Amino acid sequence: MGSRIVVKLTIWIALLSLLSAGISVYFTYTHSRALLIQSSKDKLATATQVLANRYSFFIADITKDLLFIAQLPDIEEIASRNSPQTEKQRTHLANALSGFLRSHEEYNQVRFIDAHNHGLELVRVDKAQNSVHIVEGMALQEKAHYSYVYNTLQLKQGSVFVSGIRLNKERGLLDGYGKPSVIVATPVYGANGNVFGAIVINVDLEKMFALIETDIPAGIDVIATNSAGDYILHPDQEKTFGFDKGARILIQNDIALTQHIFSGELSSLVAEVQDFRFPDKQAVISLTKVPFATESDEKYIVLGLISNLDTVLEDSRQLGITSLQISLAFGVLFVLLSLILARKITTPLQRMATTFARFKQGDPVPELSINRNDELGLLARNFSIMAKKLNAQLMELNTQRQYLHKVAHHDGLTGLPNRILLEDRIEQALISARRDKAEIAVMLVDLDDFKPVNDKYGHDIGDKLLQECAARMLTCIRETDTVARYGGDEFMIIVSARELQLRGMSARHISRQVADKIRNALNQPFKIDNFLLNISCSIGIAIYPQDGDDKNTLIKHADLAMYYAKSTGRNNVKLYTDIQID
Amino acid sequence: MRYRLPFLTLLLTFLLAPSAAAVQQLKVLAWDGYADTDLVREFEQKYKAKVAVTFVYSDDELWGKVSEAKNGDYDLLAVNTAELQRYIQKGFVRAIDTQQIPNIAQQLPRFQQRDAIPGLVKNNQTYAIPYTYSEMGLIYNRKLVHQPPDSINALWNPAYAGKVLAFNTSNHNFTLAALGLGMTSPFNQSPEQLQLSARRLVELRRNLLTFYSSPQEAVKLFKTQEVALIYANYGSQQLKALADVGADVGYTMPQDGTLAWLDCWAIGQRAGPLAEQWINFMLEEKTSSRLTNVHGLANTLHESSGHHNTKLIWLEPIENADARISLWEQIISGDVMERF
Repeated sequence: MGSRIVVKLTIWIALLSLLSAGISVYFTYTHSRALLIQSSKDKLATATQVLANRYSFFIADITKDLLFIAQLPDIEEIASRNSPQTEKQRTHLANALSGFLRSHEEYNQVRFIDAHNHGLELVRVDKAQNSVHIVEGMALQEKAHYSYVYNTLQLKQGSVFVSGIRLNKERGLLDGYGKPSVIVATPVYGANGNVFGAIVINVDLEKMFALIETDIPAGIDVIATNSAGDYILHPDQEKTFGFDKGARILIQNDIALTQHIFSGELSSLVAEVQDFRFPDKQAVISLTKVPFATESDEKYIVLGLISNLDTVLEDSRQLGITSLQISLAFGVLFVLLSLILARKITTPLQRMATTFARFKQGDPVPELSINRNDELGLLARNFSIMAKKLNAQLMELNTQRQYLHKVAHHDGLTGLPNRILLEDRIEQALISARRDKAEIAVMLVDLDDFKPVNDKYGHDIGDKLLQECAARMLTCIRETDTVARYGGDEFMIIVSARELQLRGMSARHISRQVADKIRNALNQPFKIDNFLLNISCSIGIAIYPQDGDDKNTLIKHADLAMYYAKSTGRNNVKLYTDIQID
Repeated sequence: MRYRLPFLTLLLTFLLAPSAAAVQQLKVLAWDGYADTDLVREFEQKYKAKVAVTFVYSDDELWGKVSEAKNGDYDLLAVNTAELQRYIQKGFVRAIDTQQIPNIAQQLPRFQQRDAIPGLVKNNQTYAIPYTYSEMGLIYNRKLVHQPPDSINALWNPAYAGKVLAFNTSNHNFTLAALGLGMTSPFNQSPEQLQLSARRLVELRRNLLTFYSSPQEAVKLFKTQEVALIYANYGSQQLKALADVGADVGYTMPQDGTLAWLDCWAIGQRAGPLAEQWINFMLEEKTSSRLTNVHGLANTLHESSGHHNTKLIWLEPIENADARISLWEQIISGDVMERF
């Protein structure tokens, strides 16, 4: 976890995942809210259309009733009043109309009005406290000055007139004074083609809307206005029929958008508005024009529904919270995953780094994750290749160095250490001898009569003779001793023979034995290229420490001893100490 | 949070309450054209007040609203001099502090001499400030009526049956009926005389197309129905409304009596000093000339060109408004002659 990459990677992935979660929550929330509001708008628009259709059906039903009454058989005779039967016929008609009033909860008056006699009511049935009364005699009134009479009498047979929706101000109607009502009427024509009366139905608007509004859910209110925008139906009853009470209360003032309906630009609208029932809330309102197919005081009314958005907004809020929770959970999961991912990436890297750090020259190439197919595998493979190349070059370098070392320290002809290496060996031997308080012997071997061999048989034979001499000398010494070529026909031998000294033998004694062995070996005839050659050698020995305690002294004394041996008859061995004694 | 929210609301309510109370309320009862919305808004801004205007379309309606209102609900009423008397009697209106209405000085001298106008001053106290006035003549359709009618009885002329528009009100209609019948004191009728007038009004109703209430309604009827004669309750205002839609109409003042009204601003019993400011505002040049230029009504600042002083009978207090209203409701509802 100490790795900086792990921390950085985790932080970045976590931030990215949180950011994407946040964005997705935001869009989910706004989009779902818009969708929910749209769906509630659509629902409300459909419900409003249903409401409008019901209203139209109601007016259509009233029309059917009017037309049915208009063609009842006794009607014309009642109007003519010239038959003794008239009274009886009036009673029949009144009873029939009573039936209509009883069966239609929303009707509160049905009348047959004379086209003449100032619009005198010929038959009139009123509803009072839900019981039906037949109005007769002096209580019948003249109605020609009302718009539903003078307008209806101008209509063609079969058409109907719909009044504007007003508060009823006609005294005499038993149960309807001051109530919102709409009046629907049709003219009645006689056989002669002249209009002789009108059938008029007065509809109690509250009851009619109570029927229309059935199964409208709670929280949704019905709104209706006339063609000028005056409320005729509003959740707050105080706001209705303002025009009949002196103060116009218009929907355009509550919801400015609605003016497009009254100006004729729109026939319906659905909008998100401030809920005028609860000013701090939002609502959706749907309004639609309901035109009258028939003659009327007004060309249309506007019906609508208003529904607050509480449930919708609560749904979308809940959705927002849920998606936020889900996103947070995923965010945490992403952080964990990013941790794992970061470790998965950095662990091989770390391992590789450790391996690189430990890798030394010439080590076998470490087998890293070479089999991986990804970038890490590539890195490992390339590293492997590089390490192998490095190793190969190092090996070559070593070989060359060893060769150069050998060339510099050995004699090319005999393969024995040369003078440089010899002197170094003497120094090394002196160092150990001083430390171990031991003795060493430095022995100089000079071949006798070598020059004549060279002169007689040539250099080739001479060289071969030197090689053979070197080979014989090597057989005479131990591995720990050194034989070196010191000059043309001179060889130097270092004898330490430490293990023998430890057994109590002196260097003098040991070196004497080695020297005799060499003298004997070289005295044996040499057979070189079919030539049989006989040589001898003179050997001088200097012993450390008694004959000198440094290299040069020892070499000089060994040389002196060798000359002494030569001068005393060749094929001889002399110790430096022998010279002093002699 | 759940507990804190109501507390916050309460706190806010307390904080906001004083500023809400600081906005003064003014409730005004007026007639169409007396208080146009833009002028009302201007007044509201100038005095940081909230004004609610309710329009009335007949004296009966005005009386009904004021007498039904609890606690002297209305601060200002536009009422004619004749009607004013019963409001004073009932104590519905209070004396006006004319010192607070400097624009009175801008009025024509005859309106400043309030003592000379019957009914404005009582016990040396002014109860109403004149605002606008009109005679109530006859508007006739030049296409159907070729000779300008010279009597109020033209409304009853069977030649115009079904083509007459009368005004939906009790007080003037009974006075008119009495004038037509030649009664000497049309404003002060005995019960028998009222009964006679009622029968005369049933006859009028039988000769009508219908009764109208607002000038706009009369215009609409004139356009959609065949109308020969209109009783112009709103006088010149109504003539202008018809002329504005291109109606070919004439205006005449019957010789046997043309009623005229003088509408004044009166102040409700419990109204504060802001009511005087309202009247002062209404007497400003801009406000008063709006009456004439837009609505065709006379104002009290300048002499009117269209108002002739031909035998005007200025409205007087009537003997019994309730009796007239009750009879009128029977008449307009269509009760037959036999019931009177």
